[in-house]
Amino acid sequence: MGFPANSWDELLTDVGMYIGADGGAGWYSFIAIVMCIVILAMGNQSEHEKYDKHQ
Amino acid sequence: MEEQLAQVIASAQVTNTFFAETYYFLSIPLMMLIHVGFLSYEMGATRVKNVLSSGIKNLLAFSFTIVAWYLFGWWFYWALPTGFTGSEGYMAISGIAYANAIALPWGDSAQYMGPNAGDHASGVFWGAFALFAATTASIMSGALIERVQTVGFVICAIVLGTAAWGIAAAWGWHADGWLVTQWGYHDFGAAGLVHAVAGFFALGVLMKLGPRVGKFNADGSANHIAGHNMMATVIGLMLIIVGFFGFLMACIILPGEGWSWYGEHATTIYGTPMTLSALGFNVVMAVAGGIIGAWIFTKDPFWMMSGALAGIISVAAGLDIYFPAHVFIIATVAGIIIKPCADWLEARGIDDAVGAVTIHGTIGLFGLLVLGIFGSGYPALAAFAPEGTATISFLGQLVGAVVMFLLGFVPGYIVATVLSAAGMLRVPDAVQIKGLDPVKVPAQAFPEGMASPGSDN
Repeated sequence: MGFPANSWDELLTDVGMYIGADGGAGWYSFIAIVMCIVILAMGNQSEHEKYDKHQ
Repeated sequence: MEEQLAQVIASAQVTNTFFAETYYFLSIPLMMLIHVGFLSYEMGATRVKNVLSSGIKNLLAFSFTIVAWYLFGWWFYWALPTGFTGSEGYMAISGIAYANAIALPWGDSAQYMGPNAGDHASGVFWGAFALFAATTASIMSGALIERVQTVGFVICAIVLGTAAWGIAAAWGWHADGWLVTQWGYHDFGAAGLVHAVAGFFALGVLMKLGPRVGKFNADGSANHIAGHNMMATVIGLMLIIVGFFGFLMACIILPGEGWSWYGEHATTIYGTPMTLSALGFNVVMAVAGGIIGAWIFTKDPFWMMSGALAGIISVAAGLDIYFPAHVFIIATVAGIIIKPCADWLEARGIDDAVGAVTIHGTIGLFGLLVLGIFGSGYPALAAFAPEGTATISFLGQLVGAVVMFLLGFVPGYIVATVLSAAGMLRVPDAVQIKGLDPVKVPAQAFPEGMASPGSDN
């Protein structure tokens, strides 16, 4: 991580200003994907536990 | 003098760029009103015992579809216009290599998928398309209320909003889309690629999901299951229509930018002529026609407002071509036919709780075919199109209609089959009878004295 531009001119013309612009974007995206899958799996488990109690 | 002139031109360009960025940015909150409408509409159409579960389903469909669109859907749209081969099209703004360069949130293309001081277009275009995706997914939602599992539904929404719609848009809503270049498919306001795809995806899911407990009698006759708040439903439908103005304004490509088709003329996404004034005329005439058409036979505010939606959808494909009186006629017919079409579906054992298959699916296809009749011979692409590009025709619209039906129905049926086999689709009947809210929502929709039946609270 770190500030990706060498100058203000570079920053204002064609450089992505986000955190991770120097190569970390892929990791953040990967973590987001894993989070979504885990959250859905946990949600499904919780939902089925509630259904089972009322069968 | 020349220096001053150059400064004025540069200043005008800056103004144009910020106007364009603001224009698309403001279409996003307007489209959010579609989801405000869906929330109100579906919660109102739900019985008291299931109100909060319906709302949760809507909120999660929106949220997960947005994230999935960011991670994958935007890539589908740019990678697949020429088909599953992912080859580059004539305009050189499509294909897997192009999508890898601009639409993946990792690697070098990530510079177009986040804050970038030199890029005033990617984020607002992505945002508008993300709302298109979420809208497509939410259209299915109302049809399934009161008996679909939450996580199973979210998975359906992700597949519909990200893959089915992303591919439909690539094929039919892109200057390199094969349906456009080879068949002259024209669908300015997404009658087919949003509404028909979503409506028939819902049908595919409904066929595996089954009806709500108590919907059908042993002899096959249907019971009407009234929602708990018709006012919330009707106001929700009106809010969806307000949001449609944002949806449709975002379908116009503004002039004067590097990504514009022309320096001085606004166009459709196909590069054919279009103005906001055309929308001003035609959208409100469509709303009026749909309401009046539905009133003729139903005298029911739910169907009248559904008629307004159907009115817009019936002319959405050709809003850039139709004359306002023409719009009124088509929309009125759409309003007239929605109730018989919905009854026909119900008589075949399909419990579509809000008529989504008919209003979005059937009327979406109706709109495509009507444009094939009245718009035949009009250009499907702008002057920059390669020689031999097809023009609008009935056959082209028919092919497009079949493709949109299949892009919705087939993945809907397959995903629902897989989810059903995994026990993730249908809420058990005992839970349906007790109510979804008392079983799985740790909150109460209404104050004391209006407790959900069976609630422990």
